[in-house]
Amino acid sequence: MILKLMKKEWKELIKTGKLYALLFVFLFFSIGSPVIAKFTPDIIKSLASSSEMQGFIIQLPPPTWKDAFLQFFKNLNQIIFIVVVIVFMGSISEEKNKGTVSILLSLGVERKKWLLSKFFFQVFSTFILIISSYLICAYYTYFLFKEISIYNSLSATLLYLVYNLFILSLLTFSGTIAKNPLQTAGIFFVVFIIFNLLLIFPNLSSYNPMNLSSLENLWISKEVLWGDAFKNIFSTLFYSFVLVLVSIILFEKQEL
Amino acid sequence: MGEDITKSRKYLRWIGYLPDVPNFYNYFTAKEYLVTLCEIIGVDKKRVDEVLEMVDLKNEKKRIGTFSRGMKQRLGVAQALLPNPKLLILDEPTSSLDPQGRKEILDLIVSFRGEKTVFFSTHILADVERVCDRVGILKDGRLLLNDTLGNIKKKFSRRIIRLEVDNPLRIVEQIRREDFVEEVLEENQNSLILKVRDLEMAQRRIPEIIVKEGLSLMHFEVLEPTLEDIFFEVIS
Repeated sequence: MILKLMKKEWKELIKTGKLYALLFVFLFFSIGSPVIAKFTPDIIKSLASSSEMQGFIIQLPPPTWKDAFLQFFKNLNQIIFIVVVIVFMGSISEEKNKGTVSILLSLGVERKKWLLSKFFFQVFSTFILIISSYLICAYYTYFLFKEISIYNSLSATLLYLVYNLFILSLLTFSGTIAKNPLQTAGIFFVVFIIFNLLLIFPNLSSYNPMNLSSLENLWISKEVLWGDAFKNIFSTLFYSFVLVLVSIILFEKQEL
Repeated sequence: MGEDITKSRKYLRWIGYLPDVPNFYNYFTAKEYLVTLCEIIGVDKKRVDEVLEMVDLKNEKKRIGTFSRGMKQRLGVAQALLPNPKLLILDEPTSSLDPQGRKEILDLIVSFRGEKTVFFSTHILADVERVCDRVGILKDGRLLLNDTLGNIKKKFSRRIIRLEVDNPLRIVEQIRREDFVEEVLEENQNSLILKVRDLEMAQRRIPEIIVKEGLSLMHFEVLEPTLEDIFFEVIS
């Protein structure tokens, strides 16, 4: 039943055009990131040579594959992250609000299967998009810079997948306790901001999912240290599991 | 239905449910929506055409988002019929529908007579009189009345008869003396209104008296209380 419910989610993504929004941002930034990294110094130099800025001496190191991936992860953590949240924030709460889920439940669909199908579909679709984007970005990076560290960039992407899992489980949790998509976004961002504020405590950062994005940058610009990330990875997986579990327990008891 | 509802949800297959204001995935057509439901609940997709035919949406190619309320209500009944349930629970299926939409839904409910048990709630008592075999009246969660429509009418019957004869004053005294007559409520040049003790007896004897007196019977009506009258009597 979960697979059939996931198929319905897939149809929804196509019919509502959300799939195209996701494909566009992922594709745009996977190609755009290496291109921007490659040409940013040239753009700045051309700006510097304009009349108002004459006399400034701007020295920039030549861009490398690292700049391309730093740009890629910056986009993943900002614009793509926002688009993913917007696309999926109504997934659970809108169905509860409109009552479309009531019909499914009255036909014998189990609540936990319905909720899990949403979560699994979001994880599955974003994982495919992230990995595809990584491959495209890696290809263009190699094409433009003639060098790339697959190990570093792939390791950093795996970290992002773990982070993405946490984001989606937080979104599932927010959607479960919220009554509509707007409330979902509100709850989601409040928790998200709290986790970000907790980064000011260095002792806790090993247990903070938000630290994964710093690690991604560190692994790209310096070296991959799995040992440093284990606490972060396992605590993030643990939080994700707990969030989904709590969502199921709450949803089972919720009056619709 | 023989299912232990605490152990399995299989019993839901025998129950079709239509919520008060049903909402669907607006981006689907009626057929796409029902096919998707069939896939999810494991019902043969052939059933889709059958139920669409029943609710007269078979040739509808528009997206659900553009449907009128009546069409959405019919689609709601169609989804409830998908697993071919024995029991249909419809929550105010005719509320806020135009007369045409209401007629369509009521005709649909009537068409299930003899096949399925339909349990529906409504505030429109005329609908109840039109389609229901049994009526229950609820107030503050308490079931105040639960009987067949015939029994209810009999129970709340006021046993009042309105009679139109060409010269009623000629028979009024004779009628007043009959055992089955409780009292004559109104008498004038054209009609009599009687309260009787035994309705069946009155229905037999009154025409006999009129014929015997050589008068013409122009109108004979048993003034039954409407369901609305009964409703107010019960809830008060």
